[in-house]
Amino acid sequence: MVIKRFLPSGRTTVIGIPFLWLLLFLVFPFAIVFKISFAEMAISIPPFTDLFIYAEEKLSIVLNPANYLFLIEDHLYIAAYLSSLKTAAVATSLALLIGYPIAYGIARANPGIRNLLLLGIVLPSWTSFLLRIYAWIGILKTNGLINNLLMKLNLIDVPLHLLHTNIAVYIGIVYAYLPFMILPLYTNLVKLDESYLEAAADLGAKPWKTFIFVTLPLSKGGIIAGSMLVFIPAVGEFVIPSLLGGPDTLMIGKILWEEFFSNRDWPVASAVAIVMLVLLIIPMMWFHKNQTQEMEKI
Amino acid sequence: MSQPEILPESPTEKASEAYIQIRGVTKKFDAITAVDNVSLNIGKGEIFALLGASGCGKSTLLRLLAGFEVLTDGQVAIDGEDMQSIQPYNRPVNMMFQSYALFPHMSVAKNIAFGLKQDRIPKAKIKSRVEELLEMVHMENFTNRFPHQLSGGQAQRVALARSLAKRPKLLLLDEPMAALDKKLREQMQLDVVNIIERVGVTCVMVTHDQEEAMTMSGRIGVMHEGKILQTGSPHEIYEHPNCRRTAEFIGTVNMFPGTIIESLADHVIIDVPELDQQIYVDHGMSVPAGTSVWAAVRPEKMVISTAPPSDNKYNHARGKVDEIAYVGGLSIYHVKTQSNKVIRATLANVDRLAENRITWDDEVYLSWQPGATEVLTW
Repeated sequence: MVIKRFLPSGRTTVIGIPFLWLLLFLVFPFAIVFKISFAEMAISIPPFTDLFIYAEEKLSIVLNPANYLFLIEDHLYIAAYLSSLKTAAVATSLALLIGYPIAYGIARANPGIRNLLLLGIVLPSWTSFLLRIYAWIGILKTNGLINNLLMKLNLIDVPLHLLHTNIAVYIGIVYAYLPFMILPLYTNLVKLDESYLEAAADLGAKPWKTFIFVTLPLSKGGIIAGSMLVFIPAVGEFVIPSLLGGPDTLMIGKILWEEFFSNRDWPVASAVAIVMLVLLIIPMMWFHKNQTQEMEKI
Repeated sequence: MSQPEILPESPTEKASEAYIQIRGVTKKFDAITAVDNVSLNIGKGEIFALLGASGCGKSTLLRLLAGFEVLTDGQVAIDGEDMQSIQPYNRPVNMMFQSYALFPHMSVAKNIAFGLKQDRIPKAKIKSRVEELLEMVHMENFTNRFPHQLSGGQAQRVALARSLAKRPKLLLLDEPMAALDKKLREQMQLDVVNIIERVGVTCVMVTHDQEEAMTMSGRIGVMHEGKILQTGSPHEIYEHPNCRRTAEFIGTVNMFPGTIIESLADHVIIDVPELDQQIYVDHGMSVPAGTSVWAAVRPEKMVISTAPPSDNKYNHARGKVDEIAYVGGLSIYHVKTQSNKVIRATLANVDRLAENRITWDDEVYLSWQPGATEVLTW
């Protein structure tokens, strides 16, 4: 019975498990990456120098900010960051434009078929992500589905150059992340009290005005949630730009991969990752603040 | 059937003068007929209440007037204008929703201004109109509050102001007091009526609460299964219900099934198997002897006493006090007759210290005036 006192209570265990998970798989890896970002590249295993050196009864900590300075000095990195943010922003906007009507349509559909429609949105995700991106290569390539169809219909004489362009990257990102836009929007729109729409109509607002002045502002939470869920992974996306993008597609995920695997420059790669994380934390913080405000309103 | 022929027909019943004309209106949802061939005429400035249990079609009728539902059949005209092809956003009708439906992302002032903005009214005019409305509902100090910062009563005032902002020809109130607690409800019922009467707007309200309908409206339409059973003033509906359902829905009533055994020009006598005595009604009816009828007597018309009534030929019953419900101002007695029929009688508690009060298991007599009985044929 004495032992019981030292065992954590049920409550602590329940809360402790997720914290332990976060500690093991988020905080530790982050600390390691953070540590490596201040090391120097070395031809050894692992391929970087130690930060902490204990020799002659002296502990010296060698921090090397050169990796970060290098990111600022070399225009490639800044361009890649900006290009990633731009690509993610454009893809997010496109996903919102496409996803909103779909989410709205499902939310206003007969309750009996809503789940079926939602299943249709989620179903493609059951196939491997990589496989679906490869499928897009088949659709977009020079003698792929789209070009063959357009040629058959005599709409074009020369195949369009679609694959390995930025357009293909946009298509890929929008396609892959559309469910993450639709689901939070749907959850928001399905809760929208129809009496607000009726009240607006009753007060003389035509349907499009009701949409702009009532539906849209009331679905702000869903728009922000969906946009964050698309934007954040899109910034660091690696698979889609490397498979569908061309030589001029500059994205930070690709740079990161090259630094790690082609150049084996782990310290610079780590610095790239840390900066990307900081860039992504800003919109996340804003999102969180916004969510908290929304919660307070209710 | 009471004697509608002796009641003065209200002038608004004449279709030619009616401001709101509802003719043969029917609404079907697939196989269900929610509103069944309803015809009503409502006069200008009148407050009309549609009263009925939930699912009787009263809300659907209200939504048909607002234009949220499309008529299956019939016609609605407001101020002589057919509403058939007019969209909700073009109707001269505004509604106060049961949930109030105040836009949560807009301040009180913006909510009230919303309808005015749709009409492209100049900003300065909107501002003064909003101020005027806020003053009218005593919410001047809440202009910049948001709906979630308002209490139920305050939200209702704002909702009322918003629905009056555009000076509609017809104001619709959907269960206006449902979201308020009892104490506040009584106050708001009178406040809302005062505001509506001051504005002079024609109003149709929907409620399942008979007290609310009687307090607030000038005329009531009792609805059941999509049909209007009876229309009339609160007094007419209560004292002269035209059928059993109306009598039972409005207030409480003692119902005695029986048969007319004598039907003359100046009186009617009904034989009631459940009572020892026959019921004597002091006016003639156009119903022949032999007809099965229901004699309805309201509990407050019953006189309860321990001594037998002087006239012991008609209109009384004998029984034992089975239950007493003391509700403060009055006591409700449940008296069980020998045939196990429970008759309800109310007694006003005038005397605070009544010594020989009638109590449980007392043998009592219930009697009532010949004019207290309402004879119903359906």
